[in-house]
Amino acid sequence: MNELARRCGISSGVLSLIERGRGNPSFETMQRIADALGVPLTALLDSEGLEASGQGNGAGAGVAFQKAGGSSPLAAGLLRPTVGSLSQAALPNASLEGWRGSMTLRQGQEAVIQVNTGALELVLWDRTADLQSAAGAGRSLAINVQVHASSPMPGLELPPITDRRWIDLVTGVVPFRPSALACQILFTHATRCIKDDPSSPNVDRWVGELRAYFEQYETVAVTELSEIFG
Amino acid sequence: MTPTNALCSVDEASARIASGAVFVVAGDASVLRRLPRGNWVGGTIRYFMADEGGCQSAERVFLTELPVDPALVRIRSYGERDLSEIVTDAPSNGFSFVVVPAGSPAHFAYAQRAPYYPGLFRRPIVGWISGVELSQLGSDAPLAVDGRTGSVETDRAVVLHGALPAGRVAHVGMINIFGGDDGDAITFAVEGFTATDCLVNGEPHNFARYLVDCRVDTRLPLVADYAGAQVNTSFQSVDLEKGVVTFYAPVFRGIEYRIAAPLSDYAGAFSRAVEQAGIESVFACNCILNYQYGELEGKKTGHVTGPITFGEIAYQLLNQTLVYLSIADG
Repeated sequence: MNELARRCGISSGVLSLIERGRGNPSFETMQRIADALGVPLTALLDSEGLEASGQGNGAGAGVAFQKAGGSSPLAAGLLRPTVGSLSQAALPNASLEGWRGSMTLRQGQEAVIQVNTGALELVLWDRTADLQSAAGAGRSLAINVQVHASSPMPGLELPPITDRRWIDLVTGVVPFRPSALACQILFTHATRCIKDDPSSPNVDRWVGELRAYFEQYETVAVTELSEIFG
Repeated sequence: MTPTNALCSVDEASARIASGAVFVVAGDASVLRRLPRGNWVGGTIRYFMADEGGCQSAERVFLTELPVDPALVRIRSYGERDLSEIVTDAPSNGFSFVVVPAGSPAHFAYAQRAPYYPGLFRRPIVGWISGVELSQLGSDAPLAVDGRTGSVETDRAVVLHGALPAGRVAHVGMINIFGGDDGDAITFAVEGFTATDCLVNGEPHNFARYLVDCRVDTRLPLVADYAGAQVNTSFQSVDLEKGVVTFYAPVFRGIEYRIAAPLSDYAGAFSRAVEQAGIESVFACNCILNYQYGELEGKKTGHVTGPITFGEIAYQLLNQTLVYLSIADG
């Protein structure tokens, strides 16, 4: 194991986690492991892919993608994002044409896949998509996967924008002093704009912004969220 | 190799750019035009906080290397009408580095509209307003440059979008040495770079008259408490005859402002604040007004170096503030 880790350029601890299916290897790391073992990348990905393809059975969050009919080492890949982290696979000189993907997530999780071509054309890919829709061939292809937990702490759900507590937040009923600069500025503009225009569409617009912020950063804003909704 | 973040000669900067790495460059227009094509964005600035302290140079450039894969970088310019696309173009994990020419339509549009762009605060956006030598204000045009194409912009913002790999996260922060004193609470009914009327502790006043009557030192900014963040708006001019006050950033309706408490030692205050914050930034910039009013030439502001700009961007336009970008494991 130590020798394999050395040849892969990763620590034995990381390799052990990957071997036990608990790591979050990048595409490049998986390629290095395959190279070190002298096997095609697909040989590793097939078995991993089975684990990631469980249909809502809690087997684990994962996104598998492949190029139909392809057999090259870059024709298949697997991202296994952990909650709150970002996984990325970079496929140099790959073409978007013919790529397809599907993802399986644990119940309560959601994912956004972003496809970057060499020109960074950004496409949001929701759950299952045909990457042909990304249109065009890029000089390189990078796929970022961000998995969000819908519940950042046990028993705490991020309420829908219709929840009264959002109104209490943006109207100052609930005292709130966020720590992140982005949240401080956003919260201030939200509260002043709603004070200026308390119409429902405006309230929904700013509550929606705040909720989306917390949805994206809920793993690093646990303290703030628990103060508001805990 | 330690990423470059220093004042360089044109030859040194050219060699580094030729390596293919990604950079932000600040310098005089004449030297920016001499740099080779490459993965960089830049803007006209000739004031710097260098390792040796505050200085100005028309011959050297401040070169900041951004730790991002050049293959995952996109550079694009934006006019006043499509500035909101900065947010939609920004990578889901990464940062966007904005350079905007001072006084341009993009400058005014971004300053006034950016806080309203959907999703702005979910994308780390940092940058600065490019300027000119102070004696050439109004004659020379501030520029923003796309180093890949060599395109030079006077009216448009140039933005470098950098995507980061898994496990790396960008963070935008600021250090403000100013705080509102315990004085009057000032609010404005009209948003923008100018103000005539205001409310002072709820009472209507002409703001220019108020500033003159109260002998306010307009080298001190207005400070507003943004839920814990102290945000500055600096004075550009006070025209008592017309009753108009002009700012370097817009004032917003519904924000309560106060005149900043006086400071005797800008450099010392920045040094202490930088040390206290424990900043490990890949980029930082400070404001030309702090450079002038704080007499920072020859003085250091802690270990943080970078260009001295005509406005700082940390999501929205700020004044008299040190803004920084850090990238860390996360």
